[in-house]
Amino acid sequence: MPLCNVRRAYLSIRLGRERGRSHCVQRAVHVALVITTFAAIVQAQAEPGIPAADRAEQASIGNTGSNQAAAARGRRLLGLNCAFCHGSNARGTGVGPDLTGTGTVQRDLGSGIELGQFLKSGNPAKGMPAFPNLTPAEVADLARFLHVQLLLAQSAAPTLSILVGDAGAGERYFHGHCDGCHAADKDLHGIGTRYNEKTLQARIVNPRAGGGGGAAAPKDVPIEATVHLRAGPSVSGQLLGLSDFFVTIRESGGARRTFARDGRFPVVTLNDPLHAHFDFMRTCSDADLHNLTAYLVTLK
Amino acid sequence: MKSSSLFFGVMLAAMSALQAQGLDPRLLGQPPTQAWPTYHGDYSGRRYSTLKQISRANVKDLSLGWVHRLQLGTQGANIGGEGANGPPVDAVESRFGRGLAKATPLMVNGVIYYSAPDNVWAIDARSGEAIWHYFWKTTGGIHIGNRGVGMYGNWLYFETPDDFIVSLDAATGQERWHKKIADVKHDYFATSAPIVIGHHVIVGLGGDSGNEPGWLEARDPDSGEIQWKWFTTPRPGQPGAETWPNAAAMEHGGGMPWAPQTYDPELKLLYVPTGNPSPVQIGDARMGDNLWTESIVALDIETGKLVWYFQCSPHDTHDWDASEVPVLFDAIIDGKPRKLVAQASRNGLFFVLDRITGKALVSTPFVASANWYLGFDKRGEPIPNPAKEPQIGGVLVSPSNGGAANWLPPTYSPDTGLFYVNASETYSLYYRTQKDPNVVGSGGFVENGLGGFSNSLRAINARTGKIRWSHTYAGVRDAAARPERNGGLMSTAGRLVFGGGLSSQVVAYDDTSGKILWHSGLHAPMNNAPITYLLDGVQYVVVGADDSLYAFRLQ
Repeated sequence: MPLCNVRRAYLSIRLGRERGRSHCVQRAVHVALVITTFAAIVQAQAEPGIPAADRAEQASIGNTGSNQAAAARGRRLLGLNCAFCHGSNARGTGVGPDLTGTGTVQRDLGSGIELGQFLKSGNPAKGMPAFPNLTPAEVADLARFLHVQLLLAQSAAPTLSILVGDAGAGERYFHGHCDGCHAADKDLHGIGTRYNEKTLQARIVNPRAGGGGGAAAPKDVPIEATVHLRAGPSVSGQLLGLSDFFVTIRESGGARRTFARDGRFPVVTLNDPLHAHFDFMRTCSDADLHNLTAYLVTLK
Repeated sequence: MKSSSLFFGVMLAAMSALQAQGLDPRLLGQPPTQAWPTYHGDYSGRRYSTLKQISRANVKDLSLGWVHRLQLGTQGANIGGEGANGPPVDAVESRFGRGLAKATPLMVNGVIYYSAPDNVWAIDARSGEAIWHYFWKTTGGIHIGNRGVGMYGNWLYFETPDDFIVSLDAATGQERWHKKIADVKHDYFATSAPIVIGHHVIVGLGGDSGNEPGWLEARDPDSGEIQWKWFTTPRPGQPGAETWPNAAAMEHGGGMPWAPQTYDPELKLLYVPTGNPSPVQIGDARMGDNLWTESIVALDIETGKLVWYFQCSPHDTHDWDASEVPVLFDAIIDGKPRKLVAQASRNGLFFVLDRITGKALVSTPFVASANWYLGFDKRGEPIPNPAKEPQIGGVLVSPSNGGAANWLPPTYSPDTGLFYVNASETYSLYYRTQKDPNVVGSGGFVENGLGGFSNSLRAINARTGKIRWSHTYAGVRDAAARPERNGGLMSTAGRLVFGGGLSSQVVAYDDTSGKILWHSGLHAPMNNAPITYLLDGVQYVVVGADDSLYAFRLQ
């Protein structure tokens, strides 16, 4: 069984590589060695005597000289900087996505070039901080480790489809629940091609949710705010920020205005065009959600 | 003659100054007033101070006393640690965008002792000036946070991300010794604040990236040697082993006790909140309740032996550590005085237990959105709904991984009988990504966070679990952020509750009505819980935000 895994994984990676860009023999040998180690790890999972972290480390580092050292350094850097959100094997946690699923890591191909560019500024809007102080050598080590993780991920079982719902039931639910605002041949035309399945399912519940796994962040839908001043007329505009102590809006003329609040006053009322989605979040069943997703992916 | 008497006088002053650095152990059992000598101020976890110089009548006059920006890097620092070439300091610094100041400060004899991963500082509690800095050269490990230091006499203790416990001389910041707790290569990392009880330093441990054993240990404050070790999961043949399918699963079952503990000096019981089981979200290989993960356990302080347990999340598959503070309080119930412990748990449920026996008096949700359980069993423990475990098609679960509450401390005020906690109502889609049950850590799982409805400050009747009032923090864009964004809490006999909330502000609330009485801007959101102390007759309130400590006082 492990041998079959080795062969299948090795072949799939070889094929992937050949379709992509040419690689030297040495690289192919390295990949094979990594995968061989991985297969041994799969077998070792059943052996409780071997600590999991040792298995993971063997798997992630492979066993050739300089690459091994670089990936080991990269693993340490990942532990210091990335692991709490992305896991010690870079495969994601509840906080941050699987890095092997991100476009940055997939395009970087272990070079550190694209990764280094990305890390200079991060993506603060999605909670990914910048790491401007990593040296080029450190980025290269990190890239080496992430690339090995990517190869391991690609050699694992194919991704399972999340489409478990009934498209017909989803269409029936759509009519009566969603068609007050949406139409399959208008705003949702082609929605099944615009997002991957996971992103689509997330956006049914909350259209402001990011897709995760490297999917592009969706365009925001503005919220209309009215600030009820104690003296004088109310002021309305697009909401830019709101806390107990401040509210900031952009008026229709483009002016940005901030009002201080004391926790309650001035009262701010909001009109969120997406409010129906948040009601759905509270009440929907998993079956309704699965059915809707199965239906919407058919809107090509 | 003159010079020698002067010398003698200087010597005496120096000696008394040295002695003055030390912590009088009697302070540890007292409500915090002249000092904040341990993580929660006292052992109860109530984070309530009897100080009332700052009160609801005058809190509007509270103003900034000083700001201290934490000095990073190695310059001028005492250096320790086993890192061969030193750490990539810049890499550690770059984490600070998420907030460095997560620890609760200690304040003893006019000196604040503060910590962050790999760093400890002494700071003048009157002026905010730096006194010394200790820097630990790390060998790796996850640098997510450090909750604080522990103190015993003249000595300090702190834990490092690469799993050492280090003892420093509080007067000078010089290292006395360091001891290895666990192997960082096995994905352990340590964030807890050591709790010093009698002649024990209680040392917690974290890390769930691998499938590793978890334990809590007591160490000798003088030598650093282990006095006892308590494993967070049973071994074959022990009680609790029946809640695991086999020896390998239980021995590699996690349950890391990464958050600080509370303690009852009369009962001599240590209350330990334990973390999530391993593998984290895919539970097929660990069918059963998985004791004593995600539990509150009471241990004998002298032996480390288990006295009772209560499991907050049997067989969890959502990474909801039960690491929130087990808060000790006393109340009259049915005419009888009772010794109780309460927790607002990450899974959205509020529990009140008899802290002598562990028997549940109250089990009830503190957020309405919690949708993952079917009800409560006869022990008062929740019954998880298998349909809400991560599924291939995704399931919509509340709370999200961040939880309805998290490690940031709540507070209990004996003046109101209310338990105050910052709550988040959040949802996530939880996906299972492989059928194979053999996963390591968070393998085989993806979460897609969806935000939710609100973050709020909730005042809960601690005897009944009923919500007395709730202050929803205004906000939209990041509504229902992870609970860490809310900061921690403290209450005082001035009839105030201090906290943060979603804004970059420190706020004082009326403890009875929840009305905002005072607030002041910070340069970043509060990352820790406030403390208070009295020095030279002046009451201070100190909070941490990102890389700075702020001290407020009446002027």
